[in-house]
Parts: sequence; structure tokens; C-alpha cells
Amino acid sequence: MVSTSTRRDALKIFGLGGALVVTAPALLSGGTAHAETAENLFAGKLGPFVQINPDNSVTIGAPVRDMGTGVETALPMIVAEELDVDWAQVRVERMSYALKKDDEGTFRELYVSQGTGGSYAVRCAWPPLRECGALARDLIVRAAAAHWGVSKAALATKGGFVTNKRSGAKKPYADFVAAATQLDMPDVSLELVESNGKLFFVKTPSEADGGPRRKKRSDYTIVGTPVVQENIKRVVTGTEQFGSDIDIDGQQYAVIERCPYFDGDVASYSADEALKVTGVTKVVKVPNLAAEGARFKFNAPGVAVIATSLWAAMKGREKLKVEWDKGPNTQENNAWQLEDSIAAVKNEKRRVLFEKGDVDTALAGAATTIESVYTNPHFAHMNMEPINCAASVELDRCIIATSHQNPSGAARYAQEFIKLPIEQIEVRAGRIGCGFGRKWSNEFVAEALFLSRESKTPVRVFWTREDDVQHDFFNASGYAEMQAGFDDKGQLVAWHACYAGGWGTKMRVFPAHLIPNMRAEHVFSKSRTPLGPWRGPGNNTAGFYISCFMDEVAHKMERDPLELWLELLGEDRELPFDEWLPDPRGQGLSVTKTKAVLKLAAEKADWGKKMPKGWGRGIAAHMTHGGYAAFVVDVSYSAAKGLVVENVVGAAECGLIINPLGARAQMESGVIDGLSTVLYQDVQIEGGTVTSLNFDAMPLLRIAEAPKAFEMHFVDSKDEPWGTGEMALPAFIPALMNAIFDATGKRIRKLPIGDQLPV
Amino acid sequence: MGSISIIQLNAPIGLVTDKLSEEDKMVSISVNGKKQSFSGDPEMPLLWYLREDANLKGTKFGCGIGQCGACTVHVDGEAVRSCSLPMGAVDDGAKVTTIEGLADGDRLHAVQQAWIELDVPQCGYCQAGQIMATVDLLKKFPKPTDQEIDDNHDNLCRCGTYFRIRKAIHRAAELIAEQGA
Repeated sequence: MVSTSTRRDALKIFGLGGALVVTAPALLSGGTAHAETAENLFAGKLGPFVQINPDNSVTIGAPVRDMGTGVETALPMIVAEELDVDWAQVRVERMSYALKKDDEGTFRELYVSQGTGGSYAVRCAWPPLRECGALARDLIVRAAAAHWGVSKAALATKGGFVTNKRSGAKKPYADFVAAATQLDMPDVSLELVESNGKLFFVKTPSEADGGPRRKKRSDYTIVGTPVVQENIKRVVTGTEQFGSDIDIDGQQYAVIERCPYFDGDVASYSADEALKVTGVTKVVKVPNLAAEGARFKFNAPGVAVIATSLWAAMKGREKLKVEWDKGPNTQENNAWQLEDSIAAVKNEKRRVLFEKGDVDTALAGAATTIESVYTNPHFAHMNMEPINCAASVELDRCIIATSHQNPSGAARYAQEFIKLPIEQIEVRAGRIGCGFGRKWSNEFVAEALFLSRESKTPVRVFWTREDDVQHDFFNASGYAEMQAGFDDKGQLVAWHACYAGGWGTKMRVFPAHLIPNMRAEHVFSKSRTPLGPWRGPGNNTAGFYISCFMDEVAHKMERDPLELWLELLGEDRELPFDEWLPDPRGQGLSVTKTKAVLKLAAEKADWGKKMPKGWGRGIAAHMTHGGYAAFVVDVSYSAAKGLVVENVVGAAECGLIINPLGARAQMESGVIDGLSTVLYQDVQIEGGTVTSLNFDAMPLLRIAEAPKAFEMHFVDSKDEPWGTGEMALPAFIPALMNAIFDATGKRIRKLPIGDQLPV
Repeated sequence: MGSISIIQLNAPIGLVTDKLSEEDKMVSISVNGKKQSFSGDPEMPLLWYLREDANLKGTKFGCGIGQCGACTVHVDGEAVRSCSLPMGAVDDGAKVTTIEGLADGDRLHAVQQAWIELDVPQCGYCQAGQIMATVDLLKKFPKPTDQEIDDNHDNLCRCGTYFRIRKAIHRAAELIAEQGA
């Protein structure tokens, strides 16, 4: 459904880097008949994202926070491309979100979704940002056409200059800004569209209808070229503001002793000793802040110590005496969770994720079968910047300063929680020191709002590393039973997968469709360990189960795994796929793209070449959120040096690439993260509480352990841009594990690798 | 328990927030060339002095146990993990350099230049610590081998920028040699 509202309400107070922008609801009633100007709609700017300065430099707004994803460079590059300016002219400014009420009174984001996650920032921002860049250029061209008394067609633009093709006259864009902002824009409108949730896009007429020109891909000069991050100098000089660096005037510091038991609570506490610590001003009990009727606790209840300095608050917390109500989950530990999963597979009703043919009959009649069990522990986020949030709640104003993957979501949450109009809520969202899904939630926002309201002072809630891990929500631990059946000629005729875990895993990817008899199932385990999105949600372990088991199948069939994959995939085609983040538009499950990345990785790695003694190589491919990746990994294994990842060759099909430097960074990141995960991620749970709380108990990969060589290749894609953040890890992990098998003869089906390698 | 009180030598007396307690010793240090005094809780780590009292937010908290290196600064030219260095253990007269004080005015340090050239950061949160550790590493190993990097650089990066960090360390070594810095 598309509803068009009047243009005037895309308000004047919108500003780059400014605070919240909200439309005045009065402007929504009754349409305006007259044409609008950029002056009125965009406060003198040439659209939401573009400001051309008197010196002809260009300021472009970056609407989505960077959390290591490069989007504060990639998204402005899209605008700059359509605007026809040189990147050297461009300065990027971090923008606040903007909200506007739809006809039903619900606040929707304006122009572009500012959330970041699910590999969708580039993918979802691509259409509106192109539109806005093209609109801004069109306004300049129209003003220039009027100035010279020629048609738009008589003008050319390049590098921030307009040239009159007839006279050869050339002027900078800046000369036309004043006139351009006064031009009527009769056919420009804000439309409510579906784009991973509803939001208002700026819609302009097609070029045929006199609207802005959209560039052809072959004419691109910025998109597709390697661009160093625009704001990198701030990062390397320590002047970049992360959420945890944004102070609120007059803030005090809080640390919270939260109940460490899943679904536990505070039984009693004594604040006496804590209050004696110099600097401690208040001790406040933090209850479960879930909305009424919620089934589960929202935050871990606890006791907060508020002080004039962080150190005093931390000292005060040490002096707290708290008795816990341990709640109903103290039986949970790693061994219990595994038993619980095994029992679930035996006893619980199975949810069928994909089915084809008759797998039970095929397995029963198979000449030979193989069966394997794969398991993985919970993975923690371990973001370098722990969770953080400051809040100031006053009678008529609220400020939130934080690192958040969805700032406008935090604002909308605050609106409900503290019952202030959203116009009076400001979210100061800084750069995000890693997120990986963890910084999308609002329970840490709720704590800061609650403590500021209770203590009547601005409060920064600080999370130590131990707080951050203890109260993480984790990537689900998993238990997967895999079976394959072969006929008397040794052909693969049946494939059965049953997965137990608390979070859906993406078992509908290949080899779904490719095997005559196949079923993939899921059962829920009973564990109450908090779960949530983590890089490659659902795919991160699916890739491990599926592509490692396929390697086992190939080994059993005495086939080369690449050959087997290509044979099963067959003819280039698209197959139906109904499970897809970030939206269900569903371009299908692409045989074409899977084959393309497998072949490209294999070709670049010279698949089939002889490996040195003690080395092994593995290959795997996986589709995550519409992005296709394949890796060939070479490892060596020796008693002296242990496991060494010698070489990684990757291939990806992720649509048009905006910034090759940034896209490659995401692939590097997934590879390092994947290796770190299989070596170290192993969340320990005892008595219903997390016990592996810092980098000493659960390390991350260090530089010495990183792969010795890495190369990445991208398929020259005709498609529109897709995200890149999530797709590498789910494909890399099985390629690595298959390489370890090839090198050592040991099939490791349980993560982490730990001491399972031969001695 | 020591009270926390900060005296900035160039600040008006009115900013002194508390009386010095007897067990607190006054430490005079310089931070990025600026003289500062500290007379608060000697157990407080240098990290919190830098972030809160000196308002230098470039140095980051990552773990609090000296494992990750996000808080790396230089004390008298040596890289230290400021989360694990109590103020009481900072020598009187110590010279502290943070990421904000690394550049020479507008002229970035060779390590910073290399970091930009190789487009190293992703989220960027650990990079101040990575850079400060690298500056110290290159003093000890002006032309480090990969093995020397492996053995002597262990700051954590959750985003996985290690491929670029390694290249940037080598590039910074070249720049320093070229610039004679």
C-alpha cells in the first residue's frame, strides 16, 4: 500500500547532525495544492542528504551509524555518484534519524531506515539515496537551465560543475544553489513504502516524465571505486565519538549488580556499606522493566550504585550485599543443555523446515547410510565496546546517549517507557564499537531511563566486560543430527537433518531441492539461556552442519567435494526460498550464484593442486541474507606449530559493490571472526549463570593466529547492491573445518575445536 | 578509602572538589605535554583518570584486566594497559601520552598515516590502542618481521582487522624510515 502525504511536512527543522526531527502533525491534515520548494522542504538543502556549500564543497549526510560496516562512507558515495560530484569535494556528516507520523498515527522513519543489522543498510538505502542524489542534481541542472535559457538536455554535469554544451560555459554547482532551492518541485512527494518495515521515501518522477536523471552503471565514477573511510582521521586520532564517549551534562555514573541467574531476581539487599563510599550518591533497586503482561523478564533485575564518578560507583558495587532469588533455571549448565537437546530430538514435536520426496522410505531402503552429530556451544558477542547508555529524563525532555543499532527504535521505546511525546526525546547515537546484533535491543536503554528518572539526575550506566558477557543474549547452542543415504550404485538419494536449539537455523538452504528425498526439521530445546541475533543469525551454524556433512558425503562417495556440489546444483536456475532476512521479497535460492562463487574461489585457489605434506584444504559455500560466499581454505597441522591457517581464498556475489575496500573488509572480518569462533567461542554456564566472563576465560583471536594469507574475489554482478556484513562467516567455518579434516584425517563435529586435534 | 579529587594546575581553586585525605599522595604527571595533578584514590586505574578527569575519550575500555589492549597509552614512552595501572603506581613526574597526543599538531604520526593509507579500522574502537601499541613496537623493532609482530603485538580486534593491521605496521616502519622520525 502506498499512501501519499503532503510534501510540506518534511520539515524545515531537519538538520545534518542535529537532533530529532519530527513533523508538526497539523501539517498532515489537508493537502497543499501549490508546488513545494527545496527551501521549504529541506531547510535550504537540496534534499534530505545534500548540502552544497558556497566554496562548492559538498556535505552529505550519513544516515546509518557505522559499527565497522563502512556505511558512513558507502551510503554517502551513492548520493555523491548521482549528484555528479568528485569524492574529494565531499565531507560526510553523521545525521540524526527523522520520524514522521503516518495516517494511522504511527511514527515512521523518513527517507531511509537508520537501523543497521541483517546486512540491510546498503541494500535498503540504495534506492532512496540514489533518488535523493538524483533529485539534488536535477535541481541544480534546472536552475542552470533557467540561468542560461536552455533545456536540461543542453547541460552536462561533472565533478560539481555544470557545463553549457552549446556555449562551453562552466559554472560550479554552488552558483546555482540559491536559485535551485526556490524551484517548484510539483511532482516530488513523500510516500509510505515497505522497505524492511514501512518508511517514507522521497519519490520523484521518472526521467521520461521530466524527473531527475538516474545514472547508468557504466557511467559511475565513485560507486565501485576503492574509497578510504571518510571519517578515518577521527578514528586514528582518538576524536571519534562512540556512544560510550558521549557525556550528558551533569551526568552521574551507575553500575548495576544484576541478577546473574537466568530469570532470577533480587531477594534482598543492603546498601549501607556502599553508601559509605565517597562519591556514592544513591543505591537504587532496578526491577524487571518489562511492559505489563510480558512473558519473560526484559532486563536482569539488580541493584544500581550511582556515584559522581565511575570509579566510586564501581567501588560502591563491591560493597553491596545482595541476596538473589535464583529463579527456575539453576539446573542449566553446558552438559544439561546438550542432554536437553538430545531429549528434544527424541521426544518433542518436530517442525518441518523443508521436505521433498520420501526421506524415511529412501533411508530405510538405502544400500548404505552415514550419520553424524554436529554440536556447537553458545557464542557471545564480546563487542569491543561493551553495552553502554546514558539518559537524562526530565519532565519535558529526555536525552539518550548510547551506541545503538537502531536509534529511532530507542526513541520510540523511550516514548512508551517514560510517556513523553517523541518530539521531546533526543537520541545522541555515536559510532558503534561493534554490534553484531547485540546493540539492537532496548533493555539497556530502559535501565538508563529508569535510573535517571528515579535519581532525578542524568545517569550513564556503565557495563564492565563481565556485565556485558554475563547479560549477553547468545547465539544459540545447537545439536544437529544428520543422515545421508546412498543407493546400491553409491548415489546420494536421501538427506535428513534434525536440529535442536532455541533459535531457528537456516536449514532450507542448499542442498534443499537438490536431493531426491530430503527433510530438514527443527525442535525447540527447553533452555532458558537468553538468545538473540549474532553475526549471520541462523546461518552461522547451519553452514557448519550442512557443508561439513556434505564434505562427509563426498568423502564417503570418494568424490571431490567441489565436483559433487556442482553436480548436485546442476543447471543454472533460481529455486524458491521463503525464509529471508531482511525482507521476504525472495529472489530465491540461486543455483547460478552458488555455482559462480564456488567456481571463482576454486579457480583462484587452483583447486585440485597438490598440497604440501601436513597441509589440507577444504571448500564450502553458503548463502546468507541474499549474499553468496564460497571459500577455499588451506591449513597445515604439525606437532610443533599446531594448526596454522595458511591461506584463504574467498569469492562472493553480493550484487553491485559500492566500495570495494569496505566490502573486502567485511569479508576479512567474517573470516577472522569465523576462525576466532571455532577456536574460542565456548560460553560456559553453571547453575543457571554464565561463568566465562572475560577475555581470559574466553579469548578472541589475536594477530599471531590470523590466516597467513588471504585473498578475496567478487563476482562481477549485474544485481543491485546487497549487504556484506553477515555472509562470510557461515561459508568460511565449514571450509576451514573441511580443510582440517583433509590435513589431519580427523572430522571435528563439535565446536570449539579445543583439544580434539590429534596429538 | 581515598577520596577522588582532581587539581588542574591551570584551573581556578574553586574546581578542587574535595580535601586531600592523608593517605592520598599527590601525583604530578604530564598528559600529552600538559601538567596535571592527581590526589584521589590511588587504586583508581589510569584509564579512568584519562577518560573522566582529563576528558580524553580516545583511550577505550575493553576488559579491565589488561587482556585486550583497547586502553593502551604510553607512560614515559612505554606502551601500558591503562585499565590495569593504578594511579598509585604512576611515578611522580611521569609523562603520559594518549592517542590524542600522538600527532605533532596537524602532522599525523607515521603509524596513523599508515592506518589511513591501509584503511585499517572497521568499528574503530580498538584502534587507538592498536596504534599506541604499534608505535611502541616499532621503537623496539624498527623493521619488524611477521614473526616479531606475532610475538609482540597482541591487542584484540573483534572486527578482525588483523590483515590490514599487519600491513599497516610494515608500512608505518617504512614511513618512519623514510621520514627519519
